[in-house]
Amino acid sequence: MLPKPAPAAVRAVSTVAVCVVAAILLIGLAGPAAAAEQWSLRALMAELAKTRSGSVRYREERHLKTMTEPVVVTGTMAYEAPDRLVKIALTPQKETMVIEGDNLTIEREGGVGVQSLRLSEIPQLNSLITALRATLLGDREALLRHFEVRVRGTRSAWSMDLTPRTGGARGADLRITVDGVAGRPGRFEIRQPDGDRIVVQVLDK
Amino acid sequence: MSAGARLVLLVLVISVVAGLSALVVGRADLRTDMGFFMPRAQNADAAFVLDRLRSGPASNIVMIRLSGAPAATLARASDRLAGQIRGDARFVFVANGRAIVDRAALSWLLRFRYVLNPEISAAEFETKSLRTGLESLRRILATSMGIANKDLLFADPTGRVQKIVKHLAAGQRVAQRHGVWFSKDGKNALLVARTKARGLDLNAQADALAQLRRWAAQPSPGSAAATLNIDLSGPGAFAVAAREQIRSDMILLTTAASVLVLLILVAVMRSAIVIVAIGVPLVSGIIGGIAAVQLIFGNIHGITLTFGATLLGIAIDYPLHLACHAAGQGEVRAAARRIWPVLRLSALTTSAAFLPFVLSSFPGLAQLGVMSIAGLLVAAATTRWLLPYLMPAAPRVFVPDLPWRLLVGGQRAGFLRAVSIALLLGGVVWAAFGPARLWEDNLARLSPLPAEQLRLDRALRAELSVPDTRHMIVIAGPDAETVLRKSETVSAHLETLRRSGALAQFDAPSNVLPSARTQARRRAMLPADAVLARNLNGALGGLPFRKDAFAGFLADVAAARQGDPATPQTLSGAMAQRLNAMLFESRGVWYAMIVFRGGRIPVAALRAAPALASVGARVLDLKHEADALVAGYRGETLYWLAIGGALSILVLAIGLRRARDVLRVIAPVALAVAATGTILVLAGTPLSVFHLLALLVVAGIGLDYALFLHRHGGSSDAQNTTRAVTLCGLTTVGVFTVLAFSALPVLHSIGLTVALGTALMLIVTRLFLAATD
Repeated sequence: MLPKPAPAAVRAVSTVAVCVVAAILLIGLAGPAAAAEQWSLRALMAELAKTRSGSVRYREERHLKTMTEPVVVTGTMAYEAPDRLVKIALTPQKETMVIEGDNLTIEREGGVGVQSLRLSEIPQLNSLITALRATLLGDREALLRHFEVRVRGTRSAWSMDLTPRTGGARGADLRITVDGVAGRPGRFEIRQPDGDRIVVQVLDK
Repeated sequence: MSAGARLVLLVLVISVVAGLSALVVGRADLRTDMGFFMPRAQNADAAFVLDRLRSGPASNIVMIRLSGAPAATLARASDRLAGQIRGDARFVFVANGRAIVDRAALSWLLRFRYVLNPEISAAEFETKSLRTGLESLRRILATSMGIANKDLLFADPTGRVQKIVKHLAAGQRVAQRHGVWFSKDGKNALLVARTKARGLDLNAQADALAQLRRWAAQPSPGSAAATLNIDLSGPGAFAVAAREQIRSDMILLTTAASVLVLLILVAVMRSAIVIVAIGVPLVSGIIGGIAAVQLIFGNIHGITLTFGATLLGIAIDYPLHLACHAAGQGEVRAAARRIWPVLRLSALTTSAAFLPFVLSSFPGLAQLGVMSIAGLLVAAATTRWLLPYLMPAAPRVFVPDLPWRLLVGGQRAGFLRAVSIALLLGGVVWAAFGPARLWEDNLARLSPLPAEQLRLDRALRAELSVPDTRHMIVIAGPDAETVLRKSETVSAHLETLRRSGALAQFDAPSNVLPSARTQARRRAMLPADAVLARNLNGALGGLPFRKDAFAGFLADVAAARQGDPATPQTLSGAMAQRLNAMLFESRGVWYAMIVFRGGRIPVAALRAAPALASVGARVLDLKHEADALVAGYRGETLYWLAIGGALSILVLAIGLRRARDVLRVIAPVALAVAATGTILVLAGTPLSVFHLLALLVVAGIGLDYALFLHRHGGSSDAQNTTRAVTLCGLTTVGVFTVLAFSALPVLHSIGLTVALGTALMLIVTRLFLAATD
C-alpha cells in the first residue's frame, strides 16, 4: 500500500504542474503572449475597426419573464463606417431598421409605412443599437460616450462590460456584455433591470 | 421792439418749448399695440372672439418655417431648433413632428384610457377580442416595438393607447420627411411652438421671436452650408411686425415731412429767424396736443403721435397766414390783429369738425381728435399772442404767383363753376350707383401687415393643419362639465356631417376630454374583475404567456372602473395646452370652442341645425363679424361726421352772421370734399372709416382757405391772402403726400385723401371765392 501523500505535497506538486503547463504555453505562444497581457479596449477597438463595413447573420433571443418561451428573431446586420447599421429581421416577420447617426427609420411588414424616429428618444433601443453598432464598427469614441467600458480576457477570448452612463435616460440600469474572439464579436447579452434578457448571437455568414 | 430783444425772446421761447417738449414726450406713455386702432366690439360674440384672438391661449402660437438647405439639413436643423426651444423658459411647447405624445401625456392617456375617445365597446373585453389582441401582441413582441415599448404592450394588450393617439391625430396629418414636419413640396421644415407670453405681450413676443431667429442663424454643426432662412408667423409675430412697421413709419415719415416743410419754408421765407419763428406755433401745438392726450387718456398711441404730429402740420397754416399778411407791411402785431377774427373762426370751425374724432369708438382715433383740437387751438393762440413778438417786422415772402387767372380766373369763372358742378353731380351719381365699390368693409385691408405676411400665415396654417381662425363654434356654460356635455352633443352632429363629406376635420374639447357623464357611462361598460380574469384566461390558452403577465392590465381596468374622472386639472404639458385653447373659463363663464381644419364650412346649415340650437351653440364667422364691425363703425362715423358738420356750420354762422356768407364759404368746401370722395371711389379706392375722417380734415383745411379768401379776398390784402392760401396749400399737399407713402393702410388712406382733397380745395375755393377782377 502506498503511503498516503501529505496534502501539502499534493498542493506543491500540482502547483508545479500548473507552472510547467503555463510555462509551456508561454513558450509556445511567445509572440501573442505579449499582446495578451496588454489586451485593452484600445487594442480591441483597433482590431474591430479593421473591418470598415460588413454583414453578419444574427439570432436574437428575447427572454421575457412574462413569457414561457423566448421570442426568437433572426436576420442580418449590415454595418458601414462611420455610423450606419441596417438591422433586418427576417423571421418571424420582416422588419427593417436603418440607423444612421441619431436617425432611426423602421419599416415593418404590414405596418404603417416608414417610421422616422430619433434613436436618443428611445432609451431601451438606444443602448442595444449603440452597443451593436459601435462594437461591430470598433467605434471606441461612441462606446465611451454611451457606456462605461470594462474589457476582460485575452485577444482570443475577450469580454466587454458596458454600463450606460447616467444621463442616458431610463436604460441606465441595464448591463450589456459582449463576448468575442479577436476582431469578431460573437455574443451580445443585454440584462434589463426588470430581469428580462436579450441575447444576440452573431452567426457565421 | 429791437431786433436784439426779439432774438433774445425767440431763444427764450425756443428753450421753453424745448424744455416742455422734453418733459411731455419724456413722460408720454407710448403705446404700440394694434388692437388700439381696432374697433371696440359691441356685440358680445364679436367682443369675446376678438378678445380671444388677441390674448387667448391661441394667441401664443408661433408657426416656424425653415428653408434654404437640402431636406436632410433642414430636418437636422428642425430637431436642433426644437431641442433649443424645449430647453428655453420663454416657450411652453414645441412640436416638429417627432413623438406627438410626450411623457406627461402618455401617463395621462394610460391612466384614463378606458374613458377617453374613441368609445370603448364591451366586446373589447370578451375572450375572442382578447385572443386577437394577444396574438397580435405576440407578433409585435418580435419587432423593435417589443423592445422599445415592452411595458406598455403588456399593460395595454388591447391597444387602447394607440387607438386614442390615432384618434387625436386625426386631421392633423402633416407631411413628413426624415421624421419631421415638412411642407408638401419638401422645401421647408415646419415647427409649431407656443410662447409662455400671450400674443399681445409685445416685448416678450419680440424677445422670443428674436431668439428663434438667432438660433436659426447659428451655423449647424456638420454642415458648412450658409445659415438657414427662418420665417415666423402667428398672432404674436403679427403684432410684433405691426409694431416694427409703425415704428419705422413713424421715424421715416415724420422726418421726411419735416424736411419737406423746411425746404418749402427756406424757399419761401429765406430768413432763418422767420422760419424758426414760424416753427414755434407748430411745435407748441404738437406739444400741447400730446400733453392733452396724455392728460386725458393717460397714454398715447404711436399712431396717434405719428399721425397727430403730421396732421398738426396744418397748424403751420396759421403762422404762414400771419407772415404773408405781414409781408412788406411793417408791424407784425397789426397784421395779427387784422387776421385774428378769421384765424380764430377758422381754428374753431376746424376744431368743431374734429370733434367726431373724440367721440369715435376707435380709442386711437379718439386720441387723435383730442390731439388735433388741443394742438390747433394752442397753435392759433401762439400765432396771435406770441408770434408777433418773435417775427421781425415786414418779413419778406417769396411765394410764386400761380397762374390762377389762366386756370380759374376771368370771364371763364362762371362757366367753369357750372361745368365743375355738373361734372361733380355726374361723378357722385356714378360713384354711388355705378360699378365701383363705394365702401371698404374688409377689416383685413385695414391691417398694417403686408399681404406677404398674411399669405405666409395662411400657407403655414394649411400645411401644419393649425385650425383656421375664421370659423368656430362657441358654447358657453356655468362649468366645464356642462360645456363638455354640450360640446359632445355638437360633436356628434358634426361627426355625422363629416362622415357624409359635408364637413372637414374639426377639433372639439370633448374629443380630447369627454364629459364626466360620458366617462361614467364608459366606466360602467368595463367588465368586473372576475369576468375579465376569466375571459383573459380563456384567451391565453396555448399562447406562451405566463398567467401573471397581464396583472398590470387587470389592475388598470379595475382601477379605471372605480377611478375618478379625468378633469381639465388632471392634464399637463402639451395635452393641457391643446385643451386650454378650446376649453377655458373667463369671468366665471366656461367656454368650449370647436374649430375647423380646412374645407368649406356650411355656416348657414350649422346655424339651422337643431343639435346646435338645443345647446345654444353659436356659429361664428369671424371675418363676417369683423366686417360687420367695420360697417357698423362706418355708420357710426357718418353719424358723428354729420354732427361735426352741423357743429362747424353753427360755429361758422355765429362767426359770419349772414346766411349768404355762410353759404358762400360752405359751398366750395362741400364741393371739393364731395369731389375728393368721388375721385377716390371712381379710381377704385372704396372708402373706409379712415377716408371719411380724412375728408373731415380736408373740410377743415378748406374752411380755413375759404374763410380767408372770403374775408380778405377782396381787400387790399387780396394778394397776401392768395399767397398765404397757396403757400398753405402747397405745404399741406406736400406733407400728406409723404403720409400717403406709409405702408400702414390707415396712414396711407388719410395721406392720399388729404393730399388730393387739399389740391382740389385750392382750386375750387379759388374758383368760387376769388374776386372776379
